[in-house]
Order: sequence, then C-alpha cells, then structure tokens
Amino acid sequence: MEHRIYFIIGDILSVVCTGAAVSMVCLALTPSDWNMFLAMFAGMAIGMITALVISAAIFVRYFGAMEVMIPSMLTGMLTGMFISMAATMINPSYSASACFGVVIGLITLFSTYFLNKDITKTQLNIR
Amino acid sequence: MDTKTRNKWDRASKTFDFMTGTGAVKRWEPVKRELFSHMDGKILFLAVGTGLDIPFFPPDKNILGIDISPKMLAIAERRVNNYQGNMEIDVMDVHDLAVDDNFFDQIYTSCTFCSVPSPVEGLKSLHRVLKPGGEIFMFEHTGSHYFPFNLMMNIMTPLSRQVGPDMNRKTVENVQKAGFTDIKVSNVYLDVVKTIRAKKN
Repeated sequence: MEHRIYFIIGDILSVVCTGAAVSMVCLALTPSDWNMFLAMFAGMAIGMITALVISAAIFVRYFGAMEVMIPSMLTGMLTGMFISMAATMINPSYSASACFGVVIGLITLFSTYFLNKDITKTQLNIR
Repeated sequence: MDTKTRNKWDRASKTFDFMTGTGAVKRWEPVKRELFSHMDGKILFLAVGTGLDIPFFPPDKNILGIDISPKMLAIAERRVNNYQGNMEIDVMDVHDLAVDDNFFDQIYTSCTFCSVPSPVEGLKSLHRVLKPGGEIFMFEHTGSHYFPFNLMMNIMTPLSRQVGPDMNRKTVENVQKAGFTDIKVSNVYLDVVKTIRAKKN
C-alpha cells in the first residue's frame, strides 16, 4: 500500500485524466449507428491504447511505471467499453462522459489499492 | 551477441533516464535499498543499464555490472565512478557470459528478465556462473495471475515489446526451470512487481 502523498496524488491524477480523456476519445470515435457489442470491443481496445499512450507520455516519468500503467489501462479499458456502448444507445454529452470516466478511474484506483493490500501480504516459498 | 536486442536498448538509452529516472526510481527506492542491503562477496549485477540503481548499493562492495548496450553503459559511467566501492562495468550478453563457472557469490537483477529474449536460457547462464550455495536476488515485474490484469498485459505485450520490455513474463516459473531452488517471492505491487530470492545448490 502506497503511503507517500506525492505518489497517491500522482495515482489519482493519472486515473482521473486518463478516464476523462479516454471517454472523450471513445465518444468522438464511435459512430452512433454501430452495433452495441462491436462498439464495446472497439472501445475496449481504443481505451487501453489511449490509456497506455497517456500514461507512458505523461505520468510514468513522474509517478512510477506499473503502479501508474495498470490502473490507467484498466480505467481505459472499462471507460472505453461503457462509453462506446453508450454512444450507440443514448449518445451522452462530452461533459457527462468525462465525469463518468473520472468516476471509473477513481473506482479502479481504489479497487487496485484494496487488492494490492491483500496480495502484497503473501509471500510465496518454493522448495 | 544479440545485435537486435543491443540495438533496441542502444536506441532506448537516449530517453531511458528521462522516462524512468524520477517516478519509477523514487517509487521503488525503499524496496531496492532493502534488496541490495544483502550484497556480499563477489557480485554480478546484470543489466546495469544507465546505472540508476547504483546510488542504492551499499558502499565498499565488489561488483561487476554488465549490460548488452554500450550506449547505456556510457551513460552509467558517471554513476559507476561515484560509487564508494569497487565497481567495474562491461558489455556482455547474458546468453553468452565470458565468466568462469561458479565464479560469483551473488547475482542481482533489476527489471531485467522482462527484456531478456530467452529468459530460461539467460537464467541457466546465471546459474552456471553462480557458486554452489550462492544466491540470486531479483527485482522484477512479471505477468499477473489475476483477471483482468493478465488479459490487459497479454494484449499490451506485443506493443510494449517494440520499444522496451514484455509485460507478461513468467519469471518465477523461469527461475525454477533454470534450476534454482529455495525460491522466495515477495509481492511489491499486486503480483506484478516482486522480489525473488533463490539459491543454487
């Protein structure tokens, strides 16, 4: 579990920015007449790639590698899936999509913190 | 010498410190300092890169640092000169180590086996040059056993491999396949970033 405030702020900043950016990219790129499931898979891929590019280009340098990339990519994957599906059904606004991306990012980050606390307790010994 | 890998890391040397010299180094500093605090005897440090880990080495140790990329080592030189102990660096490929059998007391790696093209062969090579009873200490990132992290990392590896490391390596299993025993694995971040300690019998 990360306790250093600099890295906690960095983790939050990276998922919030990634969630907002991915949602807007996916909304812009998904045609509203697409099949919902096709849009979902396309959104997943676009979201992950966008998240990887944003985290590698901006946040990795300042806040760490895997600890930044994994929550960001998961945020990108989930946000991309939901927003691209939504684009074919309800055509949400850019601001609502960005807010949704931010919320997904924060949920993802705190889920990984919680999971990380549990996983890092264990030590594996192989004879 | 694997020229494809050497060229990849020669190219990466231009931006390596810029990309990883602040965030990852600071984030992992406490864990690496603890891992390196075990340094003793004749030590091989594999893939020393631009030497970002050298400030975390305890002083007065006897270390040979190797890397496949001469351009990485050229940047590392300043950090090697500042080290308060006996440290030399050399260009070497882990698959083709110009070192006698059973030579080193300890071997250290730091984010290395995400990039070695044939990891089991590389680890077997390290096993050869380690003395019986010697230990290998690794700080590595690997693939995950947990969904959806494993799915993401499998999808992204073909991309990440083009510019740097694989994201889905099974390094603990590879250490076992190479013949090391008494393997102790401590997770640092999820089951992705971890330290591995293992022995040669």
